[in-house]
Amino acid sequence: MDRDSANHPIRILRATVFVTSLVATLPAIADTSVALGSSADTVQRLIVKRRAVTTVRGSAVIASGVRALSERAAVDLSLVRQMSGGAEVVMLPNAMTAAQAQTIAQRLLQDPSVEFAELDRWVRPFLIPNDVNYSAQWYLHDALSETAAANLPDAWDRAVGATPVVVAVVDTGLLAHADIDPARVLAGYDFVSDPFAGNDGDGRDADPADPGDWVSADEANAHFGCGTAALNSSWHGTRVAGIIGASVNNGIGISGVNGSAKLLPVRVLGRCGGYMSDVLDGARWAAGVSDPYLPANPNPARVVNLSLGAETACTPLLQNAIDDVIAAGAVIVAAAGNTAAAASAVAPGNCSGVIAVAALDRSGNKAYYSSSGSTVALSAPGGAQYYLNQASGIFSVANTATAAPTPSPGGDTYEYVQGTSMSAPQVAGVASLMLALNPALTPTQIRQKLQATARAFPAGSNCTSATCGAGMLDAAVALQSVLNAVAPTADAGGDQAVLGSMMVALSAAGSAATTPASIAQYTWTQLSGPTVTLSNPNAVDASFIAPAQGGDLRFRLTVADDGGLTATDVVDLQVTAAAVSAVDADVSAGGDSRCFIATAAYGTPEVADVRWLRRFRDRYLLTNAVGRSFVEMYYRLSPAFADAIRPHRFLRQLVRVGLIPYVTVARWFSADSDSRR
Amino acid sequence: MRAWAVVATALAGVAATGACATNTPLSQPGGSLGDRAERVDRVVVVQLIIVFRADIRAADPAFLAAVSKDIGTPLAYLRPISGGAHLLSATLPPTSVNDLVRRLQNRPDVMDVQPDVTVRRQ
Repeated sequence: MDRDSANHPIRILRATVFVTSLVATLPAIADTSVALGSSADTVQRLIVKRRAVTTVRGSAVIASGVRALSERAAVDLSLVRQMSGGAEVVMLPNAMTAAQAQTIAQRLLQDPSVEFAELDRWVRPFLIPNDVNYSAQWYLHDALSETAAANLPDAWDRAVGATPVVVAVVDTGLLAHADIDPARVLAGYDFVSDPFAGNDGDGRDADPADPGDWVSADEANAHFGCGTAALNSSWHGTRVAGIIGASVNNGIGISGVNGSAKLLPVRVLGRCGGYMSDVLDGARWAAGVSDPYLPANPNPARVVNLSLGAETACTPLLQNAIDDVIAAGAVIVAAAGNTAAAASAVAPGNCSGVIAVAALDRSGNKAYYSSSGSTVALSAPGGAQYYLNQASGIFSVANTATAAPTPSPGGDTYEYVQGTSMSAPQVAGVASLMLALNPALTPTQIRQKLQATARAFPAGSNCTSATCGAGMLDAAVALQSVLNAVAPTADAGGDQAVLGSMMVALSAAGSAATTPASIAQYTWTQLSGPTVTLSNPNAVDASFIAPAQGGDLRFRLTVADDGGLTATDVVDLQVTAAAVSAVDADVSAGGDSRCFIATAAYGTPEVADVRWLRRFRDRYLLTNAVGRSFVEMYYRLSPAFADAIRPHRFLRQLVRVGLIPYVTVARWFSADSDSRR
Repeated sequence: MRAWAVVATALAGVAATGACATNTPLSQPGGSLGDRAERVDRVVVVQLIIVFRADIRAADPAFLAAVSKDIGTPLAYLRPISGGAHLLSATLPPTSVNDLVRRLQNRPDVMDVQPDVTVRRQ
């Protein structure tokens, strides 16, 4: 296909777009006339079905039920109306992002009486993007119509209203193009240090624009690493950036995988390539890694795309750089290589933690040039061409010039190209959509989800998991896996009745995350009652001294798993001003309430067994020198032991069993003492 | 003979501007790793990424002179790079690079060293 025919305007409404009547539309085609609760960008309603309400018709009862839902959701919900199927439409307190609304829905789902809670999305007939060359982008189409495609249409629906994510394009730089919204292009950097490669008259600078990477045959022969043949400018970085983030639904050209992504151009390649040292600096800078030899990056990327490679092992030097990028929180996606040989020989795709992407042809076979092997994480369309600009390639933005660029819009064009360079940005774009839905996902979790949701290679494909990774990129399923993540459960323990001035333990030990997530954070917050000072408010077990005057206290526990999902629970404590019992009289008359190990084991100093032990200490140990020495030694050693057992329910129970003989003796002596009084 | 040269030049020109042509054969995607046959009989400037022991001042001329003398190849200091590494260069035949790397690896003050390889678009 030549360029003119490729640009020919086409608008297609496919029968398959009506897969479901509940499919919403792309963010970019939000109807500005929408004013009913929810728009394409925001959500203001939930559809909730409770198991009991289907048989209830009394409005007072329903209102009471909504109040219960509000408590469970920790936001004010109001009933809009009942709807068919026994469900209810409830209004959120304000319009919010889909991710925020999803969090509230997940809180409701923790209530066993809630059968389902879903976003009441704005619905309209589903249209494919109006970008005139979308039909040429077979690699983005749905999986039903294109065997190897990345299945973007349903993914776009799932990403409605998500927050933009910064994606770094570490490549040859970026050209202005009418299909790349300049408002979404961040200030990048040019890390090409070699003046010949840089071709911009200097070494490193703050301008990541692509001046072109053409070489004449004479120049190629004169420079080591350039080979012998003349080459036209590749506009490689611009092509990659277009695949990731070309504007969606702007009526021209193509659709990017993530038309809301912020693009961070990082130039590391120029004529004949670039030095690995420049790539390492550029990748670290892209992720915002703090280093004395890098300029500051005010817009660190969450996804770093490396459509590049060198035939070398992943040395410790390379792995250190990759580790730095991942530790900064960035997903790192790389081309597996175009060697038609082992991907393990191409860096940085062969480094641990990198999502290396192999290339598929349109039928789901490994593209003839693609590197393959155990280091490949998954595959995505890379095209397989046998002549230039063949339509079996990946269609993206380019420039008409073969040397220095022709300025936009005059120089804007679109072309088909191929390579694992074109596969990687599709994965990077999908990763950015996943992070847009849940920014708390870690690079490791993104990799796991992309692999777990990859589509099986088609029957007869020459790809296997040993050669092409976990499967074929499936954007829709990957995003659904983010939305399906189940929130943890929070358990703040049972309500308690305690005495004033006593230490009170709060335990979140009953909280749990859903496998494979784990709880990453506990937060205890006092909601009401006389103010107390919480000890260890961010630990599984917190404690405080109950107010002497008594009162009703309420605390909220919030747990967050390592996927960023949260859950809350509340616990009420009724504090009674301490009665002056015989034991308490001892304490208040100078007795010491400390009994570290037993208190830790029982969770409170106010259980009878702990009181018997304290009474034994005060009446029999503290009354003689040997006993006092023992108590002093105990007070030195026991806090560490108490701290060790406190977080573990099993250990606490074990210690309680071990204390039984001591409590029995203490009770016998204390009772005997009372009888002699 | 001159006519042949004109024809060859014209063919080379067509190949070089292949992006403008339809159905120009492709062997590999642009920038592939395997299409860059190099001449190995010349002397080239090679960059090395080196991580030195923490107490080493890599840019110190006296230190560099000592190292250069020890390994038998003059090293020039270029600049520090991210990750605590340093960039140095040496002028030598490409076939001698691996030997130079091995000699540097054997030094107790060198924690890691590798050639600053050329990375290409895929």
